[in-house]
Amino acid sequence: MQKLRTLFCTVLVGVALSGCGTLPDARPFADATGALAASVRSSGQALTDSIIETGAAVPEEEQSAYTQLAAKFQKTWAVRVQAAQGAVDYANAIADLMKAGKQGGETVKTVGDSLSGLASAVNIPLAGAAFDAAEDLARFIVDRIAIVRASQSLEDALAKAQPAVDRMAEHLASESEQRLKPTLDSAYKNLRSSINNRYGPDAGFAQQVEARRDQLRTEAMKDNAKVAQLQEFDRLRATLAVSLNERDQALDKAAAAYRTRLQLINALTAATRSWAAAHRDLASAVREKRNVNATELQDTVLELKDLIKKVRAL
Amino acid sequence: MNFDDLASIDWTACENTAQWARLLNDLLALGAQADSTDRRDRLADGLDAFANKSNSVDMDIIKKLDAAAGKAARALRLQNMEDNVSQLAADTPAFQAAVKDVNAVSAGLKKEASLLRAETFSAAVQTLTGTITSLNALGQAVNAADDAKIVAAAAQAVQSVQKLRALLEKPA
Repeated sequence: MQKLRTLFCTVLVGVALSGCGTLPDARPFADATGALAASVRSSGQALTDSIIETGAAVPEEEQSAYTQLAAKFQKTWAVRVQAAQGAVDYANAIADLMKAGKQGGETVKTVGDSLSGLASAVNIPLAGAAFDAAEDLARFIVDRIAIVRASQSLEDALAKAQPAVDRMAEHLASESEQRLKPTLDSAYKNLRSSINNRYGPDAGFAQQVEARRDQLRTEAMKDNAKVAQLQEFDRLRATLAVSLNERDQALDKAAAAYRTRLQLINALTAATRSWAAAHRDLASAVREKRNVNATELQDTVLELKDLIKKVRAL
Repeated sequence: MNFDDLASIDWTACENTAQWARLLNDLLALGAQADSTDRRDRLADGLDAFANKSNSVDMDIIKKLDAAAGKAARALRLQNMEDNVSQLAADTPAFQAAVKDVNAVSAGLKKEASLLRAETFSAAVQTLTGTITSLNALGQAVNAADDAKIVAAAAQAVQSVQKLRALLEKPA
């Protein structure tokens, strides 16, 4: 009979623990939120750097406008950075609730250990097999209840947050496309304009020298006296080439920085859309899994009755 | 000259400094009509193109014309940049309202997580002690080999679990 009892408890626990419902994986949303926060910060910094760089390159009388603009932009963008931190807090709160929902089993184990310890301390015998089975069954039940509660709370929270998440995503995506990118583009063009202006006299002179040199070459073919003059022009041309090479390097550097910053801002648009989509996916996953636990407990109860009959028939 | 002409300026048509000066004058005159972002962008590009294309043996004059063109181009784009940043600032309250909503949900979630932890602990204590009692009774019934007692003990265990579940799922 002892064997039968042990077998009964084992089968009972097996039935009790089968088909446990779970909360969905919040990791994709947490990752998308992290990417969004990083993207908001880096995009803002990229545009600030671009404005400051352009400000340093323009003639002195134009510089203060860029300093003021960079400061105003930083102050305005700081609100978005704070918002992104709010999104991270929100993702953490979701993770915390899910963790609380998944801790039911651990709590039962802790309570079970304490109860067992207390029973031993006060010399109350607890039947070993029954106690083990009770602990497993309790873990199953408490797990279910905690998951159902977490799932319901989460569904409500996600539904409440969805309009705000959509509004934030819409704002960020629109600001990225309609404000950040054109501003970055203008800053880059003004930087190019300043570089070209700075080297403009050399470039213009080089054009004149080139035209005169071509003319001298033709003349030198007919008149040797022109050869020395041609050599002077060649030296002048070489000196101008150094300056124009500097200009080209400055333009290349500006273009490379522009491309990198543009990629960051494009990434913000993508990160924003991914974040909103991950939120919708999470909400949908929570909705779909919510009903699992509510009915399974009753099914288990019915199976329990059938099982008793089978155990009895052994 | 009008804004539609900007894309089709023939930069090779100017043959002397006076012609370049007239062209710049025409371009700068469009500034008064540059009343939109798009117009300012197009005019700024035209002025920068002027600075890059203009050329003459009158180096000092051309240098001044180029500097004026560049300065005007940058001022037009700076205005667009300032407008964009001002627009971002103007959109901030709407943005903050959305953030406030998300923060409120976060606060609710944190509170719910604390509550859930407390309730889980309470449920663990009640369920564990209840099921130990029930299963001990069930084990005795199995030992007694009495169908009626087994079913009654099982029903008792099931009832206590259902009661607990109903209690915990009740809205706060």
